Amino acid sequence: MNRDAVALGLRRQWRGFRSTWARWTAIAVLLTVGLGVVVGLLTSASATLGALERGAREGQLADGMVVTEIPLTEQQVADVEALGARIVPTPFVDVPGRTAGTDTTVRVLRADQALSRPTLDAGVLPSADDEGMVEKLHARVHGLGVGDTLAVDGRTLRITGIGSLPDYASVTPHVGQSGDPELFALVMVAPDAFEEVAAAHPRAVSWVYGYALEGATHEQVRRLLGEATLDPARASNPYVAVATDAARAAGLPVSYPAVSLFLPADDNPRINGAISDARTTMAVTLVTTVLVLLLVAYVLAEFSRDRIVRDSVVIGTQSAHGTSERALLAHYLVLPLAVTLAGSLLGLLLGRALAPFLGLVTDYYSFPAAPVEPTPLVALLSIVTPVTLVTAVNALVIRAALGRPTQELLRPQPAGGPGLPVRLDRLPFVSMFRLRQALRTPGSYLLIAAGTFLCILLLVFGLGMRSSMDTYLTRAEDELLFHDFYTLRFPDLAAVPPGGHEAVAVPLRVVGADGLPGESLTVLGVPADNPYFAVDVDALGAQELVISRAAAHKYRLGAGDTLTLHDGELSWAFDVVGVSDYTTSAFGFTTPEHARALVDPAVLLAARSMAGAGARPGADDDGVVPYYNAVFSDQPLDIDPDRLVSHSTREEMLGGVEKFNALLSRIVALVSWSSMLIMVVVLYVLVRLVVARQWYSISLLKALGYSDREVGRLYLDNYLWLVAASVAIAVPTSVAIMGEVWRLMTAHLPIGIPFLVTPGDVALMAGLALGAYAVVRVATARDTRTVPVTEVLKFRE
Amino acid sequence: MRVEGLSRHFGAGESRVEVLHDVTFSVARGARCVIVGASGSGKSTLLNAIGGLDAPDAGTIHVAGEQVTGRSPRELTRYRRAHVGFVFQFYNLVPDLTVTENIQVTAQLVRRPLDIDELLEHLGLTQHRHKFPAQLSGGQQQRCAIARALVKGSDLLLADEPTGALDRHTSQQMLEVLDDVHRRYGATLVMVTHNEAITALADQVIELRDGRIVRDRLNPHPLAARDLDW
Repeated sequence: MNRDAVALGLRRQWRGFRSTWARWTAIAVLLTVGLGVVVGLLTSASATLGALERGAREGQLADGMVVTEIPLTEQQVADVEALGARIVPTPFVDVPGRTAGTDTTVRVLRADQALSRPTLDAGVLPSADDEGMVEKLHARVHGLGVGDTLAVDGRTLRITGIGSLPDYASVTPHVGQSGDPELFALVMVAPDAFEEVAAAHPRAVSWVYGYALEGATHEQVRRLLGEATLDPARASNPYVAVATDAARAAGLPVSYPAVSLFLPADDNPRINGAISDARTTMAVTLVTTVLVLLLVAYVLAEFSRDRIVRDSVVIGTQSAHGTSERALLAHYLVLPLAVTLAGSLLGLLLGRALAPFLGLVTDYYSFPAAPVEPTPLVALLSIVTPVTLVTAVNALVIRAALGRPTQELLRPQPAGGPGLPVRLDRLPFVSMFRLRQALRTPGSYLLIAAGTFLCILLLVFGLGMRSSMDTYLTRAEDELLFHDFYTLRFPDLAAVPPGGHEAVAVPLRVVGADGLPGESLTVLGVPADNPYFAVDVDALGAQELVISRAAAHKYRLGAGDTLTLHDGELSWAFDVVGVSDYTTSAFGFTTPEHARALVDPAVLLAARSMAGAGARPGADDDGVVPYYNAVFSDQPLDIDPDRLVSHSTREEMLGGVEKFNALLSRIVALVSWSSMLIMVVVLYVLVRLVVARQWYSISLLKALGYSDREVGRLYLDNYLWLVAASVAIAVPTSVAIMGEVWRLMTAHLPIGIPFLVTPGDVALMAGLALGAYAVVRVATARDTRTVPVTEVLKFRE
Repeated sequence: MRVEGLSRHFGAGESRVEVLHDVTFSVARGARCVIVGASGSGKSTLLNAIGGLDAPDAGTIHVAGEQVTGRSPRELTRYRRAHVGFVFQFYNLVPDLTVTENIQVTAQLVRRPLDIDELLEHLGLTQHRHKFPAQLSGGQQQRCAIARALVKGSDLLLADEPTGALDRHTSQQMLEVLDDVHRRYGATLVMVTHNEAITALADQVIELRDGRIVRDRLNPHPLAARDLDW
């Protein structure tokens, strides 16, 4: 092709663009916004995954962790290493601290631990006793930087570095619990400083070990260490010795396992929470991408079809003169592709700009700093995918449109062939006319419906997330009637602590819930007179549970289902006989007696022994109360910390979710606004396109005596019903789709409510959709008004 | 109908074209008037002005005592709705509406339209009533267009080259139909054509050349369409 031909071709393309610039610009905007959001979310999610991977690799993330009551003996370490694995101490001490005037709990760790090492965002690791590296979320909340100070256990530490730990993707005081980085800090100190703190608080030391399998298996390590029993003489917790002595005095064969927690990295929600979030985001984003791109491709295809109809005579003439179909196809592909390319590039740039603001997880989880830049793959896909899709769809449509015989193309005729042979005589005229319009251009109607559906899907996603979290918070605030929740390892069976209400809590794993992080459920035996849980458990059989709404949602269970639980050795099958409106934890409620039956008899014996030698489990003599290991209260109780496994407060349980909810607002706003924009653009370009196609008919009706208003009613009000019907179908469908996405998204959070869309949300979505329609109706009414009445006269020879 | 001093030009400067120049004539109520002229003589522009589709630069048009010229677009719409039925050369039917539905399009515009079934019967379209335009012959489409123009009971029927797209045989049939409906429904018929032969069936013949009336004559003995000699 010579230069003149290329120049002529380009001039034609430019003129083609100029004559219908509004529609091409609108579609480029649609593509830019759609791809911008998509690229932003993908970039943010892939940056998260990349950072986690980097943190795990550089920090030598342990394959698993083991928590023991006392340090492992040299022999135990050697036994593990004999398996081929490597096991190293990664202990910590929880001590009081103070940051920027706020009292905190500080988890002090050794900066020189050999596995699960920190990754620094800034500064260096501490080397002196008065130095510390602070975990980044705590530093961010308090505005700390290198050179600042914070108080740890009464001493002032100068911050030498800010960073993250690979097994603290989510900064939580307890595994599986949401935390508040404002009140909880991780600080890594020099080895000598750690030893000093540990020596000052020997009973606050948690003996944690990280292991690298290096050829061994988790099960081998678990089995080996699981056999180790605790030597009471070495235990720092005095109750270990007390309990053991009491049991021995009573002639009971009680021994405590040395390992209190065995957690492979794959099961660690602190690691998997962020990964799960990022993967869910990517999955949702990819589905959205396909929908957006298909929509764009088909809208562009409609444009192409329209161009070909309008250019019919020109095409026929060119064809008559010998222009090949291939050349014509290329000509009609150039503009859609140019617009797609421009929209995609702008979308990529927009996504790049948006990505740092969409890093929801970066504010919630702690992981190494990572450049939030589109990966080459994302960049390539964001350009190649739309271009390929648009080429394929447009080529199909254009080829079909060009396939008409040349003599037919040469004959000028108004757009449109015969309608569908459907009898509509009985309908009122206006309904008949509108239905004929719909039957005439079903593609456009389907595209508008699809566009509306996509926008509603995005709106449901955004608004539903916010409503679900709001509802959860409201319910949680209403439901959490207690202020403090204690779990005890060494309960004092002489009496329940004054002011407390006892319960039996048995954490078990749910069989068949693989794939959901934190697949646990706590069987909670509560006395009938407990004031905190409105559950009627008295009539329950031993194999029956009333589960909380949280468990029902998380594990998709309902009354009549069977729930199988196991504790690593034994399994129990329960019939779910009801669901209680308790949304904050996955509980299976039963009577205390039934719950005790699930507790290791050795533990029951030890507890009984401590309170009254010779008493039998479940007996109520000698002033000994039946076994309990959980206490709920409406105020802090005076319980010896050495008896406790954990202590949670209402504020802690709600705090993390409140923060997560606040962070959601950014995504909700972005998703809502972009979906609104997409809806307006899709409606606008397609309705305008249909109006353009009906140019002749509109002119004819005007010539016959129809007013502009009547023309508008006949040609534009159809879309009101189309949008309304699309919304009516899209809302429940989107809620169903997003419900499943939500379940996966929240599986690692202590959230137990299904995806909710409130009547207010529905009204808002309907309002937004109708608002978008109203904007488009006003804009396109102008188009119908500008159709000249003399247009009808142009079809003459 | 009275047309007085009507002028219309298109373009400006060197490309300015005087399409109508000081055109004046009257047509009696219920008459059949044929405006004849070569291509570019201005006859269609004149018809469009009478139909309220186009606004002249100067001059006035009165139909049934009402002035058509000088009205706003909205008033012109009302005028077309109340008084005018159009028959176009290329039928201009809505392609995705059936025959009945195309007629309904204009029937909707008036309170008391003529009976559609009766019109269909009279125009020989009853058996085609559920067909779409693309399924009809040219003659059938034009009959449908005539039915559409008549159904409002308009007092002015404007036909722009109604046989221009038809073969001779079908054209003759079409003229018979027009002749017949004119007699039956009594509307004033103004027909534009380049075909001199058609003037034989008119009560009044206006010849246009280069935008001017060169002859305006009454035909004391109009022929019936079936007797027309092409």
